[in-house]
Amino acid sequence: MALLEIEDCSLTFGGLKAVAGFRFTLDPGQLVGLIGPNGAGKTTVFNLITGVYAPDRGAIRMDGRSIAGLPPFQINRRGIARTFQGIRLFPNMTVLDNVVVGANHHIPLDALGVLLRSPRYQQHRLQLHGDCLNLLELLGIARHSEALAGSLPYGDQRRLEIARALATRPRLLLLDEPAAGMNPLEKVELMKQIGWIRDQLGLGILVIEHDMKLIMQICERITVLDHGETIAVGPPEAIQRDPLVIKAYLGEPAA
Amino acid sequence: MNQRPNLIPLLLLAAQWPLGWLLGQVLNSYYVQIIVYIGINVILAVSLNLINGITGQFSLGHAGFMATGAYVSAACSLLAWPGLPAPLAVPLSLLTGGLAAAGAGLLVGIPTLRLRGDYLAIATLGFGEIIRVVILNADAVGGARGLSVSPTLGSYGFAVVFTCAIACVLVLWRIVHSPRGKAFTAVREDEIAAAAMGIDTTRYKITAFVVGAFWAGVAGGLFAHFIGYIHTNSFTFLKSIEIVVMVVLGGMGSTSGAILAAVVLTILPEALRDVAEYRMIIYSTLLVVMMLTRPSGLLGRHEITEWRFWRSRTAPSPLAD
Amino acid sequence: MDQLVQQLINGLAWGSIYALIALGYTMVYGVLRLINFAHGDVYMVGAMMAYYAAHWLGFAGAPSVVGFATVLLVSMAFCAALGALIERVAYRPLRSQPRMTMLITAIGISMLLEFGGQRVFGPDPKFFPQLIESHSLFRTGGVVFTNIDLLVIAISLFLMFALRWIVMGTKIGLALRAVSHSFETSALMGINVNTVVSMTFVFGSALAAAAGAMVGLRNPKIDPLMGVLPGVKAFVAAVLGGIGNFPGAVVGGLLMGVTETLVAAYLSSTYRDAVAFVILIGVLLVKPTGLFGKGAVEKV
Repeated sequence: MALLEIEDCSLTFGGLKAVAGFRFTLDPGQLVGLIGPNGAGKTTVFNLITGVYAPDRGAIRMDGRSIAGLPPFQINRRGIARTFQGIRLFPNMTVLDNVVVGANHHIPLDALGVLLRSPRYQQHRLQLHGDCLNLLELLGIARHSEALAGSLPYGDQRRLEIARALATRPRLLLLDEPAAGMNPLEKVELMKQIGWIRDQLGLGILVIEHDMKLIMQICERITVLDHGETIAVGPPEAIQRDPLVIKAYLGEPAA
Repeated sequence: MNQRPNLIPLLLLAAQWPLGWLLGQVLNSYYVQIIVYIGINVILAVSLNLINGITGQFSLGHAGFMATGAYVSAACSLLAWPGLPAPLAVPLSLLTGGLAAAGAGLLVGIPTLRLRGDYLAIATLGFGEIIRVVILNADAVGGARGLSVSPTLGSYGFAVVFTCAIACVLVLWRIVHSPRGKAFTAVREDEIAAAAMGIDTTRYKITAFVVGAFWAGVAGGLFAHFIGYIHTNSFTFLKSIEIVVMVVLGGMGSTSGAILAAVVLTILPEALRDVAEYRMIIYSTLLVVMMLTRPSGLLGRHEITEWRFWRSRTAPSPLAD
Repeated sequence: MDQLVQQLINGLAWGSIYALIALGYTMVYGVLRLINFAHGDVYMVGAMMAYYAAHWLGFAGAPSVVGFATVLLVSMAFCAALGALIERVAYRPLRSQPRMTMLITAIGISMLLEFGGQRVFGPDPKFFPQLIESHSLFRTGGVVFTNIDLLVIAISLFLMFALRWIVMGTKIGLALRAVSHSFETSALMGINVNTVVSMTFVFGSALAAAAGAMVGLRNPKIDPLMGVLPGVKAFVAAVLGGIGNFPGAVVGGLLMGVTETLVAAYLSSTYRDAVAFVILIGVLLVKPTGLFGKGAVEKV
């Protein structure tokens, strides 16, 4: 059974068709790209999957069960985590705490332990911090763990968002322009990290990106959106040569 | 790992009783009264800080919860168990008052917490006033004539109030600084991101409301049993504002800041007693000036225990506070 | 039936007052997203200034239309300046701060006006001079419709239409609507937002002052805390109509006045002041954007 299945999904804002008849499937361990010119509806698709919007029409299913219309926090608890196009960290909390918040749902509720600071509570807390530091280590930002998230350089903030998303223990990870603002060296590092995440954690990953080189190198399959509609689906080589895709990005050649 | 995390708190709590006796011997009752007021205001400020500062929900109706606690606890002491000896009756009444206020917090919180920012502020203001008007019209608890409360705390005032204050600060501090408690702050920082990370933001907001209201109710009960007489005039919008000012002065989100501000703002009106006619003018001018010059308050979002707070005192920081 | 008509007249008169004050709230919220807590107290200052002007200019003893008109204009001018001053000193420096900061400052200014007013004007109520002699224009059965009732409603209507003309038909009005829609974009388009915001306070405060002066005429007992309740009620009226929406403020004000008068007459006068809060909670729970408002959506 597919991890994520979207069928004939549409969303309209007022008179504007943001997404029309969107179809998509993803299996665990697949790394898929979602590209398209600005305003094509890519982030809207993310918002539909994560419950920020409910579709006007169509179905969105995870493990065969419908998730369309569920509130975002419940969708996350079903196993879908995301990062945001315009970074949404908790700026006045430490880097470590940002990740701890991500792990929130997996921390047992131990009211008595919290109030009395019982040995069991302290043990769990140490363990939790260890796990969260490991995630930070994975993304290469463990040295910043006590810094305020808002004070981090841009690239590190994006990495923190990924670490936080991973802390929610997702099975599907949605990355919205994870490489934006990074220099070429950082992008190579990021590609390795995303690959590692896919291989070691067995996640399904859907990436929105504008950096074509990055997308073509890591994704097995790419879906291209334009004006809310899917104009091409296929492996990177095919997408690169597809005339509709070229037209969407560059326009018609001069007559 | 901290082998005995509750040793110091228990010692502190126990120390309030001999300390209370000592203060009674050494200070005249006027000063003791001010100190007791500090304790009550600490509870009010710290509990509102949970709602406004830490969870970021701007509530302007805290006096309503205080009033609920005051009147319910007074009614319990007078009507529910009048024969019970004071050391049993008072804690029971305080607890009941707190629970009643928590219930009020739930009733107010559920409908209003889907509102944002200004709308939430106004709705809580409205509810605070409604609670006050309802009590004002309830002749069973004195209504417009006010209500005499008995038994009163008498010379145990300091000990009882500060035992509750220490308990309040301890409980709230431990909740907020625990791993799951970080979610309260996350809700303030970015509600959409918090929800995307699996946090039931509505539930956290309501919890903050209910817990904050509970302690406001306890503070109300303490107030009622200390003074011995209550009237709805003590629980107006102005009272809500005074508590908000404490939280803002201390720094929204800082528990230690709220405590500090409660101390300062309890002593200040007494210090200004000589210029009593100008007191409120000075108070409101100070409020405006504070907002214009240092809106983040004394401690900003930090706690006095954080290295970051001390660092920002000394070196100019290139980063925003 | 006569009771009903009489109460409706009362309600409309008070409703017009609330509408004038509500317009000030709605305008300021539209441009600054600020609930100007101090606005109700500007209304009080308006009543006080009219009182003092009447005495200083010698109109107090001799009722005359000219006298009232002069006093009205003096009061409006003074409060317009006061409103602009408050904005300049207390609100403008805080534009980059989170909105709660401005809200708390507004509360501070409100308290300053109230307690300062008690100091400056004295805490005891004053009696507004009878600048216009009241006589009934219309009397059938138990219903009395006085010239003052007519004056209040007429002047209010005039001022509301004047405002509408300014907002819809002048350049500054256009600028005001632009700034209400989007502050940053207007600034980028070359609109002097500072001027627009100042003018918003000028117009709003002038209307509040007019309301204060007229209330003095109709209900002569005035005191430094007289702005508290009407301020709250007018604010609720603005929320009821949809805060930021001009016709909404007028409709809200009139509805508030009529509802509260009818409740006081037919249910119980002790619940008169509670009406406002009940309406407030009702609106916020059912349709927070009010009768005519539209909500704004946050982009994710």
